[in-house]
Amino acid sequence: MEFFCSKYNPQIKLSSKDILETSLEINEAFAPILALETTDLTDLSNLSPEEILEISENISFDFAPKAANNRQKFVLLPVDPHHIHAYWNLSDYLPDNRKNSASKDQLTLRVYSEADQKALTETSSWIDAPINSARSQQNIFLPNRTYDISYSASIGKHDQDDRFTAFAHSNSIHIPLGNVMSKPIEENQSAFKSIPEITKVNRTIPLVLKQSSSGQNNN
Amino acid sequence: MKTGFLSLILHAHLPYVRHPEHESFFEENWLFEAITECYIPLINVLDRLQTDQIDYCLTLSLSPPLISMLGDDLLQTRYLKYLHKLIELAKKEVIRTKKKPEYQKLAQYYLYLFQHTLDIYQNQYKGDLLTAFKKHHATGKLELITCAATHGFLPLLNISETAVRNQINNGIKTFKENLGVSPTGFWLPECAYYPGVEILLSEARIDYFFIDNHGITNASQAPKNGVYAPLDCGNGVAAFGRDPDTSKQVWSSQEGYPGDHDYREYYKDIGFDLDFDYIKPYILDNEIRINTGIKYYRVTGKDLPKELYNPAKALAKAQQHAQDFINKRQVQIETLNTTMDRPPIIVAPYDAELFGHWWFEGPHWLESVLRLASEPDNNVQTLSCSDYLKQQTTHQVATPSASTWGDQGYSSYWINDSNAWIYPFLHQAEAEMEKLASDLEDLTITPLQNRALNQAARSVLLAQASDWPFIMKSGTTTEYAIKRITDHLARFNYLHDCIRKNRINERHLIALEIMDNIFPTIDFRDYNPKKAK
Repeated sequence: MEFFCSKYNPQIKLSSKDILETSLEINEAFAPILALETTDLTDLSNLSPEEILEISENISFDFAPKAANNRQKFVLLPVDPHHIHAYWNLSDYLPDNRKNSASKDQLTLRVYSEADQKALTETSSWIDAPINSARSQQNIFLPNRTYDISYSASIGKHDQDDRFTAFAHSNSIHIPLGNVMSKPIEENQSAFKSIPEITKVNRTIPLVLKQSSSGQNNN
Repeated sequence: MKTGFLSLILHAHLPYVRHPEHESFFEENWLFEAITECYIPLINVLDRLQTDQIDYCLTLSLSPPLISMLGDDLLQTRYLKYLHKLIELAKKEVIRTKKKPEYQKLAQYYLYLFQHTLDIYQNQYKGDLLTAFKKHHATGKLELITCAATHGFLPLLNISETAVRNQINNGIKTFKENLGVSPTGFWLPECAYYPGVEILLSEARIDYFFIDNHGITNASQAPKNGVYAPLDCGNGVAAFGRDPDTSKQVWSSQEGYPGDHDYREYYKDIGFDLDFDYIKPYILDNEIRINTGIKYYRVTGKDLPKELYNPAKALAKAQQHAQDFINKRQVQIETLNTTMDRPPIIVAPYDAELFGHWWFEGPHWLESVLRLASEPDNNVQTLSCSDYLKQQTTHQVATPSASTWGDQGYSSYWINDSNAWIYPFLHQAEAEMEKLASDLEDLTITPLQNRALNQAARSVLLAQASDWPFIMKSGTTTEYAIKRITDHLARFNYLHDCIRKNRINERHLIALEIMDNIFPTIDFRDYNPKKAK
């Protein structure tokens, strides 16, 4: 192996590998950090990152979205060919104490196809689901069919003669014909969910790029 | 002789992650990793194809958040810092592995790779990768398209047409402002189509979009040519269907190419494998182990001890897989030509971040596919969907079926027990934004009010990103996703409140403008539903 000697101290001999490693160590420790010319975004406002953070945190705390403030009345959303999702907030109309009320006051969510709705008095092919809160959300299972269809829904109650009186109406949604390949979604009605509490932001799971949109991983 | 077409589409998207309120922020690494592993390798591929004068065609969808982040000064500077740190680690690895030549060879390989990346980023493109994409677009070989403003999941925003229209129009506007051209194609986020969205796409002068296979096969009329020719939605906008075979060959974790035993193993990274004190300066907060990007092993096989990665062997395998892919397309085209009334087009869309990040050799595979397809002795020609529409001017008219490319094929990944709670809030914010715009119609407003209103519209869009419900369902960085969506909703609530009360605190507004600086030319008036009528 070839050695290089220092002209100042011939006792020190270095191989080319030694020289390479020394060079890399120096580079590692002392390389200048190159940076693009950049705009200091806080120049315009004299706001430091700490001040921006404080403003952000105060706003997040004081103006956090609250379910109680939601004024969307009754909305249907498409999930898949066998399910729709409904959420409603009828607090303005009703006290939120229906849960334990007598059966005659039982709220009903009635889903009908657009065609059925037009012929409401002549057909009984709607789907009724009892609901137990003036503010809630749930999935609704749809019957099998052989065609695309649009659905809308109402929330109301049955009177003493079992006539249905609706007092809230949803939007209309289109549900395609098709099959889902996995397990069916449960028809779980849940209380209008509060926002999950955040204990510590994003410092627990060191995950890089999000997974594929199509829900698959590789390797 | 070329008798059929292959349209390769890469959809490049990351959520808008930019945190000037912090000195550094871990989730910004999503962008930095993607630049290092995906976008610069892709640019390298395009540069080599151009140098070698290869006749290819590729479509790249750039999402507006990604476009904004790639052009952002703060993130450009932070990326350089990230890259220098990576180079520092690679140099340390060269020294650490000096007694293990086979590892040292790989360490040197990574060092070269990162230094080359720095050279491309800093010296060749001056930190602005959009110029690279513009350059290749100008050759006519790279078709650039875009998607919705913040990748909003349109079927679940569709209780308001204005919401969907603003997602589409602000996306296209961002694209035009940054790329200097109008897109002819549109990537529906998550390929989520619902009947009627084509009307808004037509308004925005979009010629075509993509949907999953079952969106075509379950269309209102049985498709005569399956997914191998587009459907005209009835208003001249064409829907191209994803080919299931090409999808499976690349995506499938069991049968797909990326699972090959010679390819680099994603899940064995020195960030997790090496001594804690050694790796500490390169992990999260010097505390939590993370992927660094330096990986020494190959997939090897299930339940087997991992063997050392061999880049040359892996690249040879990528070449083989590219040949296999082209061979299969040739057979597919031959078969399709016996039944179709026009040349078939095989549409193969993928997430751009698969190539290089999850599948390290993916860019090399892509380059080989494009080179092989350009050879005259096979029947496959790469083509963009816009060029196909120029060649074939009439199409079967039918309405595609509502569908997505997500798990189970519909919307359930984005609305389920983990994330359904967000929709009442998103819809409420949208409704309030529309009411604000409507109430202020024809009223004179001050410049400060105008800024606050535009910032409120930005907050609505940022809250609507499909990434947040996606992450909540996948269970990865759930707390971050929840924090982001609630922060944007809170920012909207704050702005709405101070606009209504006419008590706008400019200092607070500036803080919000600094944090959420996307869509600089947004106009809140577009949220007035009457404006579109």
